[in-house]
Amino acid sequence: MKIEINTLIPDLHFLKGMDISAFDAFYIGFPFCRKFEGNLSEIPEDMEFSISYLKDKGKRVYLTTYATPLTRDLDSIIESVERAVQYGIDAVEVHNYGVLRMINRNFPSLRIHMGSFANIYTDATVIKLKEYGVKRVTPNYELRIDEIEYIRDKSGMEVELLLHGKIPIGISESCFSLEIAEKTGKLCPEACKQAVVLRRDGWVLRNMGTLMLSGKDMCMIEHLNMINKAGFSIFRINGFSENPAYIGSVCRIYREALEEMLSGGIYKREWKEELYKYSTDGFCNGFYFGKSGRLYVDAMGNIHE
Amino acid sequence: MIELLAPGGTKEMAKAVLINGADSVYIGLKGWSRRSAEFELKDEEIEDVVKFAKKMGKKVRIGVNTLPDSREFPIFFVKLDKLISLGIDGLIMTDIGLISRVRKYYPELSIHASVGCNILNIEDVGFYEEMGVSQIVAECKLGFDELQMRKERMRPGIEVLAHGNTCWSYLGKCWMSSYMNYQWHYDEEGKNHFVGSPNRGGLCHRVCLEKWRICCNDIEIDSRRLRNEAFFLLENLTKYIDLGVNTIKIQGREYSTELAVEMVRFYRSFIDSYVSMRERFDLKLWAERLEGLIKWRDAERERRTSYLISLVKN
Repeated sequence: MKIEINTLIPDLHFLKGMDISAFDAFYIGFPFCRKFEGNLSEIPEDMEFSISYLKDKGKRVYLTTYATPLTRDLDSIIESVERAVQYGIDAVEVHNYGVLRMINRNFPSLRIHMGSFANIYTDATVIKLKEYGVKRVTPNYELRIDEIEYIRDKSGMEVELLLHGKIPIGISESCFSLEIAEKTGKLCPEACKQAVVLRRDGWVLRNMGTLMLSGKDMCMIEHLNMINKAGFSIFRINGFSENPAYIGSVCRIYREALEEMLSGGIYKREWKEELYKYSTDGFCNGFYFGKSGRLYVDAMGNIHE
Repeated sequence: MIELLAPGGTKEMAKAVLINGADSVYIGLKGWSRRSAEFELKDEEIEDVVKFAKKMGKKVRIGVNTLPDSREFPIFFVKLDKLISLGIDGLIMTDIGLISRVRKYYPELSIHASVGCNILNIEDVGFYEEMGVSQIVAECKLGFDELQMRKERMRPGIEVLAHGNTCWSYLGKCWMSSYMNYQWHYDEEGKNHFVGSPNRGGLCHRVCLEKWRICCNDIEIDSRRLRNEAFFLLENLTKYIDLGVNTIKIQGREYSTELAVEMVRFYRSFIDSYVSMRERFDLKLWAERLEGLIKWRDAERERRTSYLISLVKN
């Protein structure tokens, strides 16, 4: 089975700071805030450079689009898609149904991937979305793994899974970084580049301006046998809120682990130990086991806070 | 004529709000709406309320605004057949797939898109119209201009929440509660209540309203709750009435029946007075009258919030 591991590259700084070699494909742009400094979906020359750079290296490139667009944002979204199509993009990621309708109307043959903020929860939704040119979906992260399997099997749609990294768990029109600007002294565009973390007893959330992320990193390394058996083959690793230097290594570990286990190899503890070095607040499994997103379920089924 | 839509968190509340001036009432189908089971109604209670409303010439809408498990569709359609035979006036929905199936099997049934759809722009409105939705609950954070544009250019009706409190995240785009506590829990009919997930019909623990320690680059700099603001306040509501919004909805299935009744009485007379004497209307008097009600409401809300957070505190 041919696998794809992809990640999101928000800006050129991130692209230049990372090792892209282990990845197959990239989403470019920052879908959570249009004003994010260096946002690849907003700056034509940076978009053009990143697409041609990645394509030269034999990678697939997908443009991501703003997740919560108001009417006033629509024109520039369509312009940015048009540009990306000219630069040879392989697909566009969409989180909003209005944007889906508009892109499908303007570019009927363009491949569309529906992202996690589109709230895809059911097979009937996916079947309906086929009428709009959708070729891949990321079901909402709140789904249990067997729900995702069911959706994939019933709809015949390509399905993408988050394997590792922080989980987006809230998006707002208001920027938290700006709310606390009087305390940090940072305004737009530097404000959201600070590592802002919300803590309460054992709980932790990570904030990036308009986006709230899980404080813990989702880590599925112990469960790759299950993932492989279920037949999933398209995976995302999130690292856009972290130091770009780590993400290439994280991907390499997963690629090695997926390939070894697909060919009958056994789980190695050092994979998880290595990944742990890159995490600041520990691991969780999100919602794949039908439990609170912050919990970690190990391969034996034991639950860890 | 503008419709006043009121909450029916219990059978008693549903009847009381209709008696006290609501044109219609919305009720959650147990396990299938954005509130916990104690504020949703069983089939036989819905039947009772529908009969009651019909006698008064009023309407009942059923909230089915959760994001279910794909495998729960058959349970829902058995229920829907029954609801239709009772004569319900429409559904309030969120899931695109469920909407499209309902539209296919019941082409005449009225479907309103829930606030949980988070419909943000006019292309979004166009998409939901293509799904067969005839009215859209406005996301609270949208401005007047957006709704004005929708009124001028788009067909679906507009519903606004009177004094709608809204969270830091866009409604329908938040998983902070289920990140902290999420449990799969089935009722006797086989419906998963997804405890802890507001989008899936479990309760929201409102963890955003807890005081968080804010750390920036590993240094604690502040301590605060996430923003929670109210929209469609009285002074703006008159503008929306002038614009011609179709429905004003009062939230509050979780409040006491007494409070729900008082809110209905207030907004009923507010709307009627404003519509009948726009030029001579004195907003100030009404704002003063509302003040006490809002305090009452906030006190009930605060108690409920403390309770919801206490369910998940470590």
